[in-house]
Amino acid sequence: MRLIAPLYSLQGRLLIASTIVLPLVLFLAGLALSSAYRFNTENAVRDQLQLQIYLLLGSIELNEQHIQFPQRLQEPRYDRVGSGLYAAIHEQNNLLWRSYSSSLLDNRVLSDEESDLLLPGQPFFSHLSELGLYRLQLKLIWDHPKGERELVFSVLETDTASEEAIRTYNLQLMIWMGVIFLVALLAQTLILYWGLRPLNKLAHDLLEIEQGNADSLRGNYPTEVEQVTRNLNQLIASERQQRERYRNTLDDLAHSLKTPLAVMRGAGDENLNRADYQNLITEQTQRMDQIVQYQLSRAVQSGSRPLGMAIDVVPLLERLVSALQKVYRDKGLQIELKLRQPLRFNGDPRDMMELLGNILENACKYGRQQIEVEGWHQNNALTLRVCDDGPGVGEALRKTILERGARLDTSIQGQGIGLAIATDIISSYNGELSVSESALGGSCFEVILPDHH
Amino acid sequence: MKILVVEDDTDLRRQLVRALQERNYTVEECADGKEAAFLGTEYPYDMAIVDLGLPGLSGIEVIRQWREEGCNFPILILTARGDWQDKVEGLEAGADDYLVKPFHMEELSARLNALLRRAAGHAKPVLEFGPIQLDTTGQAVYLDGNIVNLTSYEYRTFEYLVLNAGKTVSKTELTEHLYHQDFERDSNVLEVFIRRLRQKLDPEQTLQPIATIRGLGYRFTMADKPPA
Repeated sequence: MRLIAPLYSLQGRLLIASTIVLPLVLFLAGLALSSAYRFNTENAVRDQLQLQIYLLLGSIELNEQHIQFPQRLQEPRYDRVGSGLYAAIHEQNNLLWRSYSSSLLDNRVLSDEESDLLLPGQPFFSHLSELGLYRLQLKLIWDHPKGERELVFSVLETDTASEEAIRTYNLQLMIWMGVIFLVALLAQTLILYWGLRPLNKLAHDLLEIEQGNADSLRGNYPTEVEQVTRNLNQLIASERQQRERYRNTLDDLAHSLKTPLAVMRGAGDENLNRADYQNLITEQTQRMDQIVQYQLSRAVQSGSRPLGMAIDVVPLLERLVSALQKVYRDKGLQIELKLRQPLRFNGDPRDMMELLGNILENACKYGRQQIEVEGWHQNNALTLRVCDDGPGVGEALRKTILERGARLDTSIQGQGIGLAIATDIISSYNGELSVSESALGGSCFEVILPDHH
Repeated sequence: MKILVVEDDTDLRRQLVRALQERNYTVEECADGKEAAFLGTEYPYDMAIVDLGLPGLSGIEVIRQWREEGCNFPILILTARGDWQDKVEGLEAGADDYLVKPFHMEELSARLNALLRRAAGHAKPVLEFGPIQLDTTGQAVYLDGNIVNLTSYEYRTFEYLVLNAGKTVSKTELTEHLYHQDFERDSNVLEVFIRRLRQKLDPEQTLQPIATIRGLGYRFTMADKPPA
C-alpha cells in the first residue's frame, strides 16, 4: 500500500493524528462543560422556584372554597400580566387560585395530568421548553378541620434569561475551545519540531558523512537516539576499516605479485635450459598462489564484531570436525571434543570457521591417530586448544611456524599458509596463539580470544 | 576407471582431461551443472571431479542431486575460493575430498587414487595379494617383488578387477568403465587382455588370480592380505 505524502514523515503523521483527535477531545470537553453549566443554571432556577412556593405557602389561608391572602404578596411580578413569574394552586385539578400575571397562560400549562402522579412533599421540576417555561410543582396534604385536603402548588418562570445565559456561555466556550485548539496545534508543532530535531540532525549528519564532510556522527544526541548513533558509528567505523583493509590488501597484492612476475620475465633473458625454466616457473607460480591466497583471506577477515552479535562455536566445530573426518578417513583419526558449554564468540562466524579450519586441518595432517579439542569460556575470553599426537613442534621452530608461509614438513601436501591466516585472524581480534607440547605427544595450539577487542 | 570431469573453464578442463588420460583413466567431460547432474545419474562413473563454481547449477547443488539420486561414486571438489565455508558446505553436500585451485596434477592424482582405494575399502596405497602387489599410486604391479610389464589397458583392466574384488564383473561393465563411450566394444579384445594378464601374473598357473565365470564375466579371487 502506498502512503500519501504527509504520512511519510513522523511530523506529518503526528500532526494529522492530532488535528483529528484534538477537535474530538475539545468537542467532548465542550459538551461536558456546556451541560454542566446548564445543570447548574437550572438548579439555581429550581431553588428560586422552590423559594417562591415556600413564600406562597407562608402567605395563604385556606377557606372551604377558596384561598385567601391575608396580606399582599411580596412578589410584585405576580401582579403584572406576562411578567415571567406565574403561580397557581389546584385542588384535584380544580383551580383554586392563579396569579394575575398568568392571565394569558392556558390553564393546562399551569397544571396537567402529570400533576396527579405527584407524590406529596416531593417537588417536581420540569422544563417546558416549547413554551419557554420552567415549572416547579409541589403536592401538599393540608390539615383542615373538615378533613385532609390535597393541594398542588405550581410556580412557573420564563426561561428567557437562563437560556440567554446558557447561549452566551456556549458561545464563549466555543470561542475559547477554538483558541485552545489553535494554540495546542501550534504548541504541538513546536514540540514536534523540537522533539524530532535530533532525528533531523541525525539525517543531516548522515548526509554530511555521505558527502564526505564528516567521518562519524558527532555531538550530543538524546539517549534514545544515542543508541542508534553509537551503532551507526560502529558500523561506519567497521565499514571504513573494511574498505581500508581492501585497499591495503589490493595494494599489497599488486606489489607482492610484481616480484615473482619480475623473476619470470627475467628468466626469459637468462638462457636457462628447459628443466630449470620449468622449475623456476613452477616455483614462482606457487609463490604467486600463496600470495594471492594469503591476501584474499586477509581481505575477507572482518576482525570486528557486527553489532554485538555472539555466535555459538560448538555447531561450527562439529561441522568442521565431521568434514575433516571425511577427508582424513584413511587415517582413522579419533577427534575428541571436550567443550565446556556455552562457547560464545563475539565476532564473524566466517573468521571463526577459517581460524578453526586451519588449525584443525593442521592437526589432522600432522596428528597420527588422536586429536583433542578443548574449549572453555572464562574471564571474558574464549580459549580453544587443539592437541595432536603428531611429531610435535621443536622450540626453535615454534616461532617460525606461526610466520607467514612457513611450512615444516614439505612432504605433506598443503597450502602452507593456513597457520599464517589463522595468526592473522587471531591478531585482528587482539587474541593470542601459543604452541606447546601436548600430553598426547604432539603439539598443542592454544588460541585465546577476548570478548572485547 | 571412468571419471567425470565437471569444470567450466575450457583450458583447465583440457589440462585435467589430458593429465587424467595420461594416468590411464577414462575421462568424460562436461562444462555445465545441469548436464553434469544428468550425466552423473545416467552413466556408471567410478569417480567425479566437480568445480564448485559452475554455470547452470552450482557444484554443491550438482553433488546434492547426485547423492539424492543414490549415486555413491567418490567426488572430489575443486574450489577457487579455498575458504572453509566452501569446503565444509561441499563436504556436507556429499563430496569426499577437496582441492584448492591452483593445484599440482600429482596432488590431484594422489587424491583420486586415495579416493578410489577408499571406495574399494582399502586404506593403503599398495595392495597385497600373496605374491602379487598392486601399487595404485605408482600404477604398477609387482610379482614376487619384481615389476610386471603391463600395458596401460592391461593395468586398467587388472586394477578394476582388484578394486572390485570378490564381485563378478561382466564384460559390458568392464568395457563401460575402461573405454570411452564411442570406443568400439569388441569383447574379444577383453579376452585377449585377460589371457595376457594371466600369463604375466601367473606364469606357472598356480595362483589363478582371475576366474572366468562362464556367461557372467570375470572375478578377482585373491583376498587382500591385511597389513602386517
